[in-house]
Amino acid sequence: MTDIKNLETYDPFEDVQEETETKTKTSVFKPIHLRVKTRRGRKKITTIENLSSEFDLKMLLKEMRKKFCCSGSIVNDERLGEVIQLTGDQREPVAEFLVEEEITTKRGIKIHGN
Amino acid sequence: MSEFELDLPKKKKRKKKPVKKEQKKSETNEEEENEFKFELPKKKKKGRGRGRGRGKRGRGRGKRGRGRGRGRGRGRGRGRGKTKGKEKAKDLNSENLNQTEEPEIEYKVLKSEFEQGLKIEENPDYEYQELLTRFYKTLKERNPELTGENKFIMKHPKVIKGGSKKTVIANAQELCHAMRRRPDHVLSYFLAELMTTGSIDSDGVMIIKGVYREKHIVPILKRYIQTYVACQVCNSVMTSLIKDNRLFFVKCEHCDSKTTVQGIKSGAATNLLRRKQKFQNKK
Repeated sequence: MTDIKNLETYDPFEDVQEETETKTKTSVFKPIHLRVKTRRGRKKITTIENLSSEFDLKMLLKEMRKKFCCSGSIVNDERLGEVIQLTGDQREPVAEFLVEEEITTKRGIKIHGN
Repeated sequence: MSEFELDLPKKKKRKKKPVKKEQKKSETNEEEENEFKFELPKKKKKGRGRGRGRGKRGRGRGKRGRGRGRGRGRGRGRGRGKTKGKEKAKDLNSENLNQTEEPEIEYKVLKSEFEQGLKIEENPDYEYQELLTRFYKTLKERNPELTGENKFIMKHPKVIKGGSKKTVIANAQELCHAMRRRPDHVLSYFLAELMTTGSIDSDGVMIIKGVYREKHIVPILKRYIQTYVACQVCNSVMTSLIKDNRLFFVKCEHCDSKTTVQGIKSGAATNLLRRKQKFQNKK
């Protein structure tokens, strides 16, 4: 039956389904948020949210710690998922770092705070 | 010729000198004016090479390689201290015409005709940019509302120290009233940005935990206005916040447009504090 072309089953939505799956992933635009919190007097903490799970967060943390000469950790938040914490006010160096490593563009980063 | 005399300021300066010399110099001025017509364009070519003095950019990039139109040509190697005779006059001549980036001679022609009130149709030599600048100048003078520049002038927030660990914004009620927003909404935005706690008093005064100054709070206010108050289409400030089907809209009264806006979400560190307390309590 497949030899006769008129009787071939043709699903016109085959290609479209694959596209929609990929589109739903990319259409949801999740920017990376950089926030600062004061701890005690002059000391501060920066938090990095919404990093996609494709990346190995531990390796990222390690590089950031070496580059910025600070300590940091990964924290599991109920609402927001995994969040990277760094000591000090590291918003701008982190933003440059993310852009250099081609993790996001400038648009995908949102800086909060002063 | 009379037009050129009016434009040149060097004559005014020479009036200060004694009378005898004026008569002589009035004669020389005309000669020098004639010379100027020819000398100024030549000078450009000397310094920077040909083909750059005039043209599309006119004098903008001609002589010094920098925009003369912005007043940068002044005072750099020119006219400092005493300059002699022709150099003075030429510099002053160029200063007068530094207002626009156009070739000098064409500007002079324009001015005279503008003063005489001739119509545009009679002079088809006007360029598009010249007409545009003229249009916007008259608009600003007569109808400043219609120009696209909406300068929203806000009062500064009065930031006061409320004890050793708190800051107080005394102006909060006035600001919220001017922006047409609820103080609750504004507070929650501040707290999300600064990652702290705070509250509003009965007088409409905001109290925020932590030591902040005006320079910390003004940029946050600006960001709030850009995201939640200003219309993204027409840049006006006459807007209102509406909630529809769990979505926040910014509705503009000037252009009747609706744009969606995200809600205010606080960060993760506030939750971490509570986790610490939980952990300590378990002990």
